[in-house]
Amino acid sequence: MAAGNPRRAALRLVLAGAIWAFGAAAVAAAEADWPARREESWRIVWSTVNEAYFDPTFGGVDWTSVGERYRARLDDAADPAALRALLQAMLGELGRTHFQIVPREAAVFSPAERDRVGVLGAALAADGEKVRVAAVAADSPSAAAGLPPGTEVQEIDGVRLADVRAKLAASGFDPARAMRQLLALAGARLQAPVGTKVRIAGVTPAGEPWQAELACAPHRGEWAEPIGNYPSLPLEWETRSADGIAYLRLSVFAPAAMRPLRTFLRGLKAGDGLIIDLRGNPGGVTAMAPGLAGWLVDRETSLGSVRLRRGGMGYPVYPQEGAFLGPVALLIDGGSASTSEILAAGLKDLGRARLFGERSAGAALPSLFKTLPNGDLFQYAIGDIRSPRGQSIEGAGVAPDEPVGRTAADLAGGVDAPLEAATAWLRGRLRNENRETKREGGNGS
Amino acid sequence: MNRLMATTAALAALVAGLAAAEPPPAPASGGTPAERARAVVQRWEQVQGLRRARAEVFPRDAAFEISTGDNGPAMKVRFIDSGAGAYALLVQRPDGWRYGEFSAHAGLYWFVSDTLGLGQFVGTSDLVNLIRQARVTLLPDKLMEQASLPDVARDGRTFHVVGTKAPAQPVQFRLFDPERGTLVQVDTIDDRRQVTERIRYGDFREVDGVLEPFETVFGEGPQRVTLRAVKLANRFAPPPRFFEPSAAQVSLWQRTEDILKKYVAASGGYAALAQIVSRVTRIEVTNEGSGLTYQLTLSQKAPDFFLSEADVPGVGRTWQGFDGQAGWSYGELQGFRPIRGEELELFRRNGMLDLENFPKRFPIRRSAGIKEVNGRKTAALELANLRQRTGLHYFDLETGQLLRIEAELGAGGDGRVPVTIDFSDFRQVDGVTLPFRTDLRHPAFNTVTRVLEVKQNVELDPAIFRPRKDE
Repeated sequence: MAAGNPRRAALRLVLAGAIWAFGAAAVAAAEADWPARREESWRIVWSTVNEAYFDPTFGGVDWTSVGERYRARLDDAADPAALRALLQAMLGELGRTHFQIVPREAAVFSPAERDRVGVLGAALAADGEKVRVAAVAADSPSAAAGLPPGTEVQEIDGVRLADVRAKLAASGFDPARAMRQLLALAGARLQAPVGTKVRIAGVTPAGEPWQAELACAPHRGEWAEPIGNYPSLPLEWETRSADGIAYLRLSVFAPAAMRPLRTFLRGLKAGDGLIIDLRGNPGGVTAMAPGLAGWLVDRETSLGSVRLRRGGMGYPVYPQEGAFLGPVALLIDGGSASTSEILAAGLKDLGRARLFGERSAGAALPSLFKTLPNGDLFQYAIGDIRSPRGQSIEGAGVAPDEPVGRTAADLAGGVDAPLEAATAWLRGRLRNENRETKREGGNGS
Repeated sequence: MNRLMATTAALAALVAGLAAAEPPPAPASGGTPAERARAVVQRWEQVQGLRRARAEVFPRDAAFEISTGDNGPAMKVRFIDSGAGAYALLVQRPDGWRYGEFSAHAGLYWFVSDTLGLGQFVGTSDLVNLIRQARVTLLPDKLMEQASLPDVARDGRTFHVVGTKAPAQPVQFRLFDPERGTLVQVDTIDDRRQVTERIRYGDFREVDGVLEPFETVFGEGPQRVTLRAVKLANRFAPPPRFFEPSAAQVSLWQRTEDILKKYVAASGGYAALAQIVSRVTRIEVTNEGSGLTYQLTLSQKAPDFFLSEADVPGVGRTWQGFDGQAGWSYGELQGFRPIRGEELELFRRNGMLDLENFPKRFPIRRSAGIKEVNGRKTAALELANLRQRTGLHYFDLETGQLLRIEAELGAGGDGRVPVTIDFSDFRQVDGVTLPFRTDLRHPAFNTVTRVLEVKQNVELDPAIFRPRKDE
């Protein structure tokens, strides 16, 4: 198969990701019933894809022979970690996002397990071919270590980002998509069990070498509740309003955020402008996208459609009483994925929002989680999403209306160029609307 | 008389798009308003051939294209009317679906389609009523009042106006073309002097020496319905028994009726089912695709009130209901939304406690033969009514129980998903038999529901079925 084949590329991506796989995961001693549980885990993963994968042709993959090939290697999977790698490689043959095995020890389902997800408090952003520190949270390990915003991150735990990017490129990823994948891999590496030490090395905006070993700290904010097999996640949202510009940021689409967000949206006034910041938001509960969109429209519409193995589903949007109908700017970047992309693409196609920032991740497939007999979680996509204009998001991402990148100087100086561009656009729109209103008032008097 | 005259004053305002003509020419020469009206009406009856003997016109073979709004896709219809109640109708909808109706006697008709099968209905279908309205008919013999009113102008032309009031009927204004004598518009007026119904006739062409309207428009705006005649032929000679189903068709339908009656008996029988007027069911729902388990309470009250309340871990509370007026849904994620159309029909069906009327509710049936379901031999029937198709139903040949439904459900917007629902663990509660377990298979996941508790004939406040509001 050609190196440029996206399916092969995705498989190699899985292998590249394995460099940074949950290395600290304990290798459980093989138990007496391990062969049976291993076989059953393989069967569930293979048959679930076989029955629920949205494309009956599996994108040209001979899924039956893929299954047989990996089943023949089951004896080599002597422990859960080996089985995980084997199943992940099998899923990688599909060349799609949202097919993964999540180790049970990395998932949080109760408050007692929350130390499984520790944070460093550093957000990353792409700057050309470089990965930079976009922001550092106050009182975080990154802040304590003096990690300057704008720093180019060159190594994480001894793995050179340039090497990973080269591997992605060699696997057939175009430069932009390789960069988005690199960003996702690097960002994931900055979240690890509380106490895990992560070594970061790079160059500050001033050109000084910078390196430190940081220990992941507990997430101090809210947590989204688990939904069945969908694990609990750290949840952050921010709402503020000043000078007629309202700002809403959401770290992940979790139902717990709906009530405060709709209270905020309902409180906006005619003549306000709204910025929705979905940068770095990896997605979450898909139904929240049409739910939030309902607070931004005055007529029934749709955020797109999902093709299932048989039949399809829509994302209908129902206008809510007191919806905000003023201008909306939406911020996205390479870290905006899944539900973020559904909302962004939908509002863009409907002409309801203007998008600022960078192309999104292109990882937007609705998915479910199953628990495997070995305890791991199996995430599987059940459909392929199209935007209201019929554009596929998976693999392509959502392009901003106004591409605005972030440079080292901006980041170092605390300048958020996409946010500033969105604010300027909103102010212009509001000025024009005020002028129109005055003119109409003048004509009528 | 007073009512008609009082309404007359508001005529100009009521007839949208019309302006008072200046000066209004006399509709007919001299006489009282009633005499002038009679002259207009008599001319109309003559030019449109309304006094012809029935045998000169019927059986009548007509073909129409029926559309909604400006450029709505057209439904093609062929309608053969005996003129004495019997008719045959062939319909091809814009989605390609074809079906027919035939009636040998007024008040009873058969529906037939290749996909749905055969159904027996009481009454006359809405479509036939609409088509019959499209044909201009005589005014009622006994009018309380008939008067000529001031002429009106439209699009640079002047029209005669006749107001009529028949016993127990609303006031109507009829507009006539003074040149050709044809009836071009009928407005029905309510007590508040509002136009409640408007029918416009146009594109008059000569058929057998009289003028026939080839275009009839019901209503106005985007919801208006337009019938365009493609063919109008009088004295059509249909073959014998043209308006009746064959003996084989009637026999097949009767067999489906027997299967549904056996199902009613297996569910407790007519008498026991008729006694259930409310039900509260507590259900455990497990979505096997996502590992989600939650409890749901379903409240039903006759005739078709329905409320589903659930608290889904990690998601929040959701409600869905029908209060006799409107279907609705409210949840933490999607907020409030109306439930309409096919989804509402499904809700109402879920809310209906009158299982004893199941055969009546689904009079259109197609047999899909004998099929095996979970080791049981079943009769497979596709059931429908004129509002909805409900999919294939599998009835146990031995016990009569409904074991499976295969259907296609709406899934948001234009989305549709095929699902299979299996019913099992049948238990008797208060003399009626209910399935305590259902297994729903969806293209992407399976859901199992288990009944935890059933209470019947409990007092339910109708207020609980009303739509929830955002807090």
